[in-house]
Amino acid sequence: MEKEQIEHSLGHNRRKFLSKVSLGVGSLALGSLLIPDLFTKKSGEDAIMAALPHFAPKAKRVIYLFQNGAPSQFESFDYKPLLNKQIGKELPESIRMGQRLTGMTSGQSSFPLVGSYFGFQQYGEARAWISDLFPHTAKIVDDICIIKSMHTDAINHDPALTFFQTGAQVGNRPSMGSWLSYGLGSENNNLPAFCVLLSRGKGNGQGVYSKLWTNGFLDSVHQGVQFSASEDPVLYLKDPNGMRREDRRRMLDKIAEMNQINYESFGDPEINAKIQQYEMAFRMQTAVPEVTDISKEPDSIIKMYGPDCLIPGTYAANCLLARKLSESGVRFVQLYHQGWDQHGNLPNEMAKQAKDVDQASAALIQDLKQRGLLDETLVIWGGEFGRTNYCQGKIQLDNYGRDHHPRAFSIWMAGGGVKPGIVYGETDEFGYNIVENPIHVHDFHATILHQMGIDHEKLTYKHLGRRYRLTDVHGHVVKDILV
Amino acid sequence: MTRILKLPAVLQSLLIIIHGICLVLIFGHERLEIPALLEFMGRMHPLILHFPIVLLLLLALILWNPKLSLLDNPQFSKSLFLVTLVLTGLTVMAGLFLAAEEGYVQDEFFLHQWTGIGLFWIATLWFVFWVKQKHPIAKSFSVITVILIIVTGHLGASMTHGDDFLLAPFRKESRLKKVDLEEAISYNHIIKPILENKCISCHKASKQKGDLRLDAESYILAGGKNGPVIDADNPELSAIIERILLPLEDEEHMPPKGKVQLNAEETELIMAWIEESAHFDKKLVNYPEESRFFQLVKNIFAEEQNLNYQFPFASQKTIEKLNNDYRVIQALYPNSPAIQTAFFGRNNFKSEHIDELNEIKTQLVGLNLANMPLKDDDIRKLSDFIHLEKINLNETGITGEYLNELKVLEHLKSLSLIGNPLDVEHLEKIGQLVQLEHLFIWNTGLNKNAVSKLQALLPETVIEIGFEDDGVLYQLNPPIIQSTSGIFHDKLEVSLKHPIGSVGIFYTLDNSLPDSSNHIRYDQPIILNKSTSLRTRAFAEGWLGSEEKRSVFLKAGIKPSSYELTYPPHNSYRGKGVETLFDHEKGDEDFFSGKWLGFKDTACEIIMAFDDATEVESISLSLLSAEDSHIFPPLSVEIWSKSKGNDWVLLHSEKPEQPLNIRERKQLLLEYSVSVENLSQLKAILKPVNPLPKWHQGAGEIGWVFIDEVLIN
Repeated sequence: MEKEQIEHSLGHNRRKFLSKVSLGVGSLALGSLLIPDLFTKKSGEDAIMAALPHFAPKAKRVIYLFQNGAPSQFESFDYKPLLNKQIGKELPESIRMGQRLTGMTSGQSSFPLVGSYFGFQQYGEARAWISDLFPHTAKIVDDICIIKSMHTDAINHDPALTFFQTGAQVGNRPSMGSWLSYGLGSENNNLPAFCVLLSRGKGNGQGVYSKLWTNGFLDSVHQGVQFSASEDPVLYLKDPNGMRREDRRRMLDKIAEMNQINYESFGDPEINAKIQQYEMAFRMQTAVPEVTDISKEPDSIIKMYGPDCLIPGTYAANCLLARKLSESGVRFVQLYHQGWDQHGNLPNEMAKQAKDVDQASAALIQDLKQRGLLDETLVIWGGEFGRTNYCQGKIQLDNYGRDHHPRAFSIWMAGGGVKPGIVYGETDEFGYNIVENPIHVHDFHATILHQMGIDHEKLTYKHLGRRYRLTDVHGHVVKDILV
Repeated sequence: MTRILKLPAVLQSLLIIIHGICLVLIFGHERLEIPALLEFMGRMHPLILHFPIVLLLLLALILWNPKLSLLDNPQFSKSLFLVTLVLTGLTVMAGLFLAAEEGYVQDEFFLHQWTGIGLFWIATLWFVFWVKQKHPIAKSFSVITVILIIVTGHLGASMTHGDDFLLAPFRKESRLKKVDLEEAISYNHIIKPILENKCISCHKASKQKGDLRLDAESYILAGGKNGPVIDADNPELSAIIERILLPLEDEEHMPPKGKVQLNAEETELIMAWIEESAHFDKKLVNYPEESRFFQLVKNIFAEEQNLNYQFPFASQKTIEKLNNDYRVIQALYPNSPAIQTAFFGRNNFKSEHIDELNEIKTQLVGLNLANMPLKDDDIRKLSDFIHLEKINLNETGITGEYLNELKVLEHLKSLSLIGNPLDVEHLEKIGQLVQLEHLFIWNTGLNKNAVSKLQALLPETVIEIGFEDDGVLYQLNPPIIQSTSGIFHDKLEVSLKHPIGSVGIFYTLDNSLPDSSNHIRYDQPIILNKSTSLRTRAFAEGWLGSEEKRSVFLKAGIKPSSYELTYPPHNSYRGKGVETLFDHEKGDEDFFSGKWLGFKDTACEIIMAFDDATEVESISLSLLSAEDSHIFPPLSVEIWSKSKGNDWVLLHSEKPEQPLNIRERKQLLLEYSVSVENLSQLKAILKPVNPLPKWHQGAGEIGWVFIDEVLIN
């Protein structure tokens, strides 16, 4: 504590002192020679920010429909008739090549192949195969880009999910939405740049935790704000009964004054963040009720998303809310729909899961399109990995399970300058390995940033002595899927 | 000391020799075969040339400024001058060796060579007159020397870096010649600019590296010393493509390392052009639309057009002044003068906020006023923003009056009017906006007839009429059951709700599925006064009836004087022990909540004792069924009673109906009547299913029984 007191009285701590001193020496030595704009000098981070966006963006906003738990590609978008023909037969070693298993099937002595219980048909100009579980998605097939060749590094839910959200399997790195908030800010200062919506399906669920929408080492204003399904979509936002808005204003002014005094003596940037957060919360008090009010939505919209969209907390309601938030300038809307972890009882659970998400996901695309917003909004649908082509547990034609499979899985993207109506990438006939155009999670991130007008190699933040990126030291923009 | 004295003499001789060699080289270098060592020396030219430049300039400076007494020592200054001249001569020699290598011909080289040699000669003359103390003449030669340094240096740099190297940063790069898409010609407007920017500096009349010229059709088709550069039959094998695609480090890679490289777009354009047979004067519009070449060029044109705003930038100060939390003003693209503005916060909107935008009326290309409470009059203000391309007026409450005034906005491409109460009377006013490419007009109260009229007025416009009911019947979602608790003492008020206000809610209280025969239509809260299983569904016109929703409400009448479990519940689901069953706290479908007891390996056997005067009518058991989690209705339920002094008597023995597949989780209420005089004890035995049925994923294992409440009435 003594140390903190000394630091306080100096208005410095060791790290700040060193960074200021080194900056001073550096400026003296090099300044006049090397830095052309010495007198309008910007620190490293400011210079990075000033250069943004790096080029004309195709997409202004992202809506990420995360299917948490990992939906099976074999019952959705990766049609493998061979698995139906060879049902019950052993997965050839030449295909598996001794690759790792999860703890859940590592004890299994045999890996019997199992085909989709559901039928597939071809749709759209690309003649894309889509399972009968997704009839609404089939209707918008000409607007979406189905990617069958995603792959990831992680084989268990939490690391895989964290990897997809933050670009690293361990926690505490900033989430993709936070990076975009940091890079591009919000279009609408009355709403957070990064909003999070949760819903629970009927299938076997896996947890989602707030670390997935963390700001990590970025300023905490970039944290995702969770909207809940209760009467209060944003918790603790409402004024207590009887409190007038003017009183709240006066209170905030006073607090800001005191915080400012503290900021001047401590110099902790988090104090500034706090002031800003209070101000935003004050503006959100009027903006949030406006944006979450669905009473004015016409019947055609309700029919489009399905009647569930009127029940707060459902996936359909979240899709509708996502559209409204995005329309109001929220940079990144992150949905999580739980319940896709079908280790057993797959046909039954997957049918329910698909029923919950299919109509509303398709409606979101149609709705954005009929508002002329699809061009500037990038929508992504997908889970954290795929599922095995062999059965976990006892195999029955109408009741089987699939374990985790990170080597190949399917997602789809739409709008925001992604080529519509194509199917990209291919897996082998067992659906086990990718044979064409693999897309790694880092590539996926690089591509999303690229569509937002950001060079993924240039959006960096210095923390603990080195610069961090969402894509770490990897990632290539997948130009093939871009318009 | 003697060595220093000798040095000028040695240098002077060396200088004369170098002059001789240079004279020979000037006239002979084109016929010379240069050995590798000299070639190496030749390539030192760009390195050593900096020494004489610096030294000569220094000498000139000293000579012109007598106050500098650096050259007071005549020996030293003479040596320095001679060293400078020797270095100048060596540079010229190296340059001539370099020139003997192929690729440098005519114009630029010719000038550079002669100014360089001239420089050497003039500087030597300067030295001669300086030594002879003829200072005025020496001074004039020094001036010529300095001028020649600048000219020679510039010419040399142009040869290595390209003609326009110095001025390039001042010119804005345009990827294509400015011409309309319809007019564009494959070579002239698309390929030629690329070659001009990246290739021609080494492949033109004045400098024909590899004997190749790329500055006109005939030369391109003729190829270079290694043969043709274009192979329309095998585009990938065309030398020009092969060279570009080689890795940068490769000797053969073009443009050579150090020169400005082609970007991916340019490479692709050239490839696509060759794929389409490398036509030189074909109009772009004559290419098949699906060809890669056509598509690439079309995209570039589209982008260029976008970035091509001719108006001046608004001042940063103005933008900062107008920008606030409710009115966001941003550039359309980085470094674009075009501005888009969006309004947020309905409560903060004032009509004047639009007027304030007059300061950026030239730059404004996008305006989003969605959700702002506009008056029809406000629309007239928009006609001042002459470059507007996109206007969003969704949900602003306008009726369409004055929309015709927007017809002066000749760049207006997209207008969105979704959710406004448009008046049919103003249809023709909207119909005047013939410049529109997109019009969004659904949910505006205009019927089909009106829309088709509008389409007739706006034949070029794509009118978006939104999602239309495709006639598919969708299922309603079930009603929501609301009550204060699941267990009550006296009576309970239960209300039913549905998110769609207009649906009919139907219910039953007799544990039958609500359908057309047995339902009660819900119109006011239901009052329950006994344990009830409430089942409800919603119906509406144009929808399929909902699935049922059901809830069990329990009336808690009598609490036994004591109760116990014969066997303890399973360790994982033991709640608060037997107390859990009599605490009047119902569990929900989350069986981990601690409000449920779970039994698997033993039966659930509950024994309850009653005081003398207690009259018991019935016993109710509240159970859970969740087949997906191996929780089944019990295999059998037995109710035993004991009256004072007597033995146990079996009152009921029931085998509840077992499910045939996995169903939704739900709560079961089993009710049994008890009419025993002088009752002292009751016993309920619930046996778990053993084994689970064949169809279940846990077939063969033992099932679970979950119970949360026992109620006596």
